Amino acid sequence: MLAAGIDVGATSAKAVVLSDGQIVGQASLVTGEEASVAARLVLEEALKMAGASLSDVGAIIATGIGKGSVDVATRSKSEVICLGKGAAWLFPETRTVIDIGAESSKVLRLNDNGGVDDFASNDKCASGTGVFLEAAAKILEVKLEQLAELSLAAANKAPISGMCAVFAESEIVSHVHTDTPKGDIVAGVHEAIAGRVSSVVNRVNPQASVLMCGGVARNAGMVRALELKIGFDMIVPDNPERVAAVGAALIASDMLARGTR
Amino acid sequence: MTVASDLLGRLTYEGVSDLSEEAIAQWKDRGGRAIGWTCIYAPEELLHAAGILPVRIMGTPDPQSIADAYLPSNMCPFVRSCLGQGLTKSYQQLDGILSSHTCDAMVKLFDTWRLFVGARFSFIIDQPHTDNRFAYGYLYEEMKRLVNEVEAFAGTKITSDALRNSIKLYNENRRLLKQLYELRKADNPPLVGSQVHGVVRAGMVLPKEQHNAILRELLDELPRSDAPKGKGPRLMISGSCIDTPIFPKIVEEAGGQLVVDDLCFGSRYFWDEVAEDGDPLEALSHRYLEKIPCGCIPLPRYSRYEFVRELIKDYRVDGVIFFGQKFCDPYAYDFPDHQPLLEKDGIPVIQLEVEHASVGAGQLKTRVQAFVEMIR
Amino acid sequence: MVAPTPTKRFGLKATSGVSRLMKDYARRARKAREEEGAKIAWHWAVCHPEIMRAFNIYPFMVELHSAYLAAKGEISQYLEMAEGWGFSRDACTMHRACLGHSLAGEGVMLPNPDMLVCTTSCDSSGKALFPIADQFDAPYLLLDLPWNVQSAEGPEIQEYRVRYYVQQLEELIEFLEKTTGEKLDPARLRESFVQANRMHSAWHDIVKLKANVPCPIGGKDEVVATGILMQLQGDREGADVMEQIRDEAAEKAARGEGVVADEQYRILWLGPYIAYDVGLSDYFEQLGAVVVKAELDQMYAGIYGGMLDPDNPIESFARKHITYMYNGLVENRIEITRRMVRDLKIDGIVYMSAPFCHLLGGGQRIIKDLMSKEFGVPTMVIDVDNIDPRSYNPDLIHSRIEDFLEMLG
Repeated sequence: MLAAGIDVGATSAKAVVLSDGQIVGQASLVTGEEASVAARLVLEEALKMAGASLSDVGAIIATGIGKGSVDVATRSKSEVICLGKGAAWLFPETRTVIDIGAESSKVLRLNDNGGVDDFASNDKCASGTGVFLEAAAKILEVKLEQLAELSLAAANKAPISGMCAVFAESEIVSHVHTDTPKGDIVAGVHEAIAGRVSSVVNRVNPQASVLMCGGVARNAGMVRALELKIGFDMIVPDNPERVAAVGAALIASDMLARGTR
Repeated sequence: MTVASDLLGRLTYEGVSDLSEEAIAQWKDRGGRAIGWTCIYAPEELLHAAGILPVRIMGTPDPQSIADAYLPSNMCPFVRSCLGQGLTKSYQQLDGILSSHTCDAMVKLFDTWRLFVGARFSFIIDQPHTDNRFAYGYLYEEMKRLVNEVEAFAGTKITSDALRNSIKLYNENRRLLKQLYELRKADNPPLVGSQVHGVVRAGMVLPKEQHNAILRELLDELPRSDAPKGKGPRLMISGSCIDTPIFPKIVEEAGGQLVVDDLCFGSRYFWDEVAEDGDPLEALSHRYLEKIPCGCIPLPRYSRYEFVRELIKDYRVDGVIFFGQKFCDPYAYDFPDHQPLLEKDGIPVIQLEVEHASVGAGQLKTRVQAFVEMIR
Repeated sequence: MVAPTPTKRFGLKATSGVSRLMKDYARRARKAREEEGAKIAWHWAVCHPEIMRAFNIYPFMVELHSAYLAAKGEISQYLEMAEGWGFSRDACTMHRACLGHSLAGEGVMLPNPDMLVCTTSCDSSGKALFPIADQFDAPYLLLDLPWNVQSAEGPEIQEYRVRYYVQQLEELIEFLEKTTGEKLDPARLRESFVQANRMHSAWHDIVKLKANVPCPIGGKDEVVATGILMQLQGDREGADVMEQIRDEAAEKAARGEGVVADEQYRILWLGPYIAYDVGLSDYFEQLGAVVVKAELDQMYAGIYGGMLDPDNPIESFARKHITYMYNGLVENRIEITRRMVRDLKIDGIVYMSAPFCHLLGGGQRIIKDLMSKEFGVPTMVIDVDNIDPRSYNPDLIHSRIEDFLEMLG
């Protein structure tokens, strides 16, 4: 029997399938579909990779903001718990998890048993999240995937100190008008986000080792900017946006092992 | 390069910071103590009379995020910047903090500073927020309480004579600054607003004796120097804690002349003198109660507004720029109250909301440019 | 308008008496004004209804009525109106909401004021009533509340500090005499204080009952009952209803009954209430958590002290105001929070960090660190506006509550 975890976020869905404690299938889907549909689609993808079908799955845990609507799920679990579980399993030395998603950023502190001791989140301010990066990429007319390279090659950082994403976006536009090199602007955007996220991080008294996840962690420039800001090197797992889904799958796996439903 | 411009050149933002560091170091080398104050309602004279160097705690033009882990990010950017300075040990040399119960953010600064930055001496003076007749006796008692604690900390008595002398010295500083401002009444003021900012800021961190000497030299030399060609409408900034010259510079770059201000980093710091006769502590309570009030003091309701009107008249101001710090309720309430009154009398007004320091400098300049064009 | 958390009826029958009481009070006030020339006074939080009731005055607490409008889903239009008149979106939303419905000219919730009274308890309080006083051309008295610089464990409050406020309270009485044309009747003042103490005493009993496991009264019942504390101190009927709530809670406690059948988590709610989602506590309860206690009630009635002395009315009133928990050094607030966490056996703290309230804000980090260190009790901070529903996402808040409770484990 397989165990699966599905994380339905604001703009994407992720799924992970486990067999005997090993990942045998996983997928991410950027989607505007309604939560239950998105969940089924991404699970299908992950199962395809595992060469299995829904009937092979014994337990499914749903997490993320859309978890309440995932009809295939056996149960749902809190996002924070799933993140913690996933991070601790992937890298047991993790004591701080920084998750920067599309619309929110969260920081968790884990204890030595991999449990969550404390968490803080920024759910309000777009300027500490993925949507801000998307907005910046749009204004600069570059692809999200290009942001890392641009910022890492930049000589300077264009100052973007607006707390509010709305202010900050106009600052980006001003920089474009004054012919500031794109790389410098991106470096400035990363710096601004790092500043915003670091104050959330500092609220939980961070400790090493620090793990960064969420879609934004694919941006090496952002990772670097944040490392410099918080003064810690960070572990970035492969497929960083799937950490919560891993945790959810682990919980499903535990359920199967205990024989509970 | 004239003596005056050379002197003003030393009072840039960085220049004043360097001078301040030097002054504190020298003071402490001589065995003296330095205490930071956070609000212009702090009776510096009392510290001075005890041989203490009063140093205004300020923020920086650089963005900070460290304080946002201690105070919500929807709180006064100036206060968070000050806390950031404290947390990054920029004020390590200070022996204590003297704060005032003026606005909500100011008291949060005091609480978080004590708990997270640390201070060997900490005191908050409860500044009365109304003009009722009982406030005098109350503030007098608060000042007495401060005297007792400063004496205990400094290990020295603050005599009436020492206090009178400090008051005289501070008054002299106020007069000199006022004379400097008088020069800006001219058609072609000999110095620009961003330069004035540096001069006033220096006065908040340097020993008064040193600052008086600088002012005397400036007043001597400025009439001899070539005044910069003033161009553009004569403007005034009204607001609170603008601790960097960035905003005055923005106004100048946008084509306006900043000829006067209503700021606690400007005229409101020094405009009112302390009576030099009678009981000095009583004189201090009177001055700190009757001075041009900060926006956070609700009564008397139109005192600051009348001060602004007076300045508009005396300095022949063509337009007023209200600088509102984000999340600053007191000044935010004043704007819809004062603006219609000014506009009714044909005085152009613009409100700019700032998030401290360099944020959005580009757009601010654009807006001021539009304002300048409108007034011309 | 975002649909708030669906909510069931109150935990206690007696709590439904609050709504009747408030409506009845407004009816009494209008009638008294018509028939006896009674006066209507408007005030904010931390004000003097007990003293006003010594005269033929019916005090109304304006912020409470903004909260009622918000609970009915009708506040957004008034926020927009106020913003249209130039009141900043970055300033206190509660007062902006009040300005909206007060200046809207519709007699929305309250009979027009004959006078306004306020204290300088926060930046916004001092200034927000001016436009309203202007609009109604009503006399306005602003009292300066002295800042309590003594820490809870420290020395007694200085005499001169009490005297400063006593002098102003005496001035308040002169003001009330002038606006009503009455002379202060000491017997009537005494009676008001006796009734206020009755209400306050019942509240103290309620707080003690909350220490029971399971907690017999919490969540929505507390929020709604706080309304009486805000506006009806000194009113006999108000004290009656509070005692009824206390009695019913005591009966429940005697039967070992709690707000939830299977109580797993005991939560302390710091900061303001979310006025437009009063049912949020229901969501906690679905997950086996009880919001045992909030802290906002202590702006009106301290739970550790703050009782009035009818034989020494003015001075005891002065001390009540000066010592209330948000007035003064943060140590006072910390001390009271510690006692609540300890006495009420709290498992977790939710700190409602309303973005534009700088009186209640600012304590997040200090309280979180200290409560974690001393009691091992974690704090979750949520950034949601207390009265502006326009960007509220209940699903997100529910998600965070779930996250927090699961973490409490």
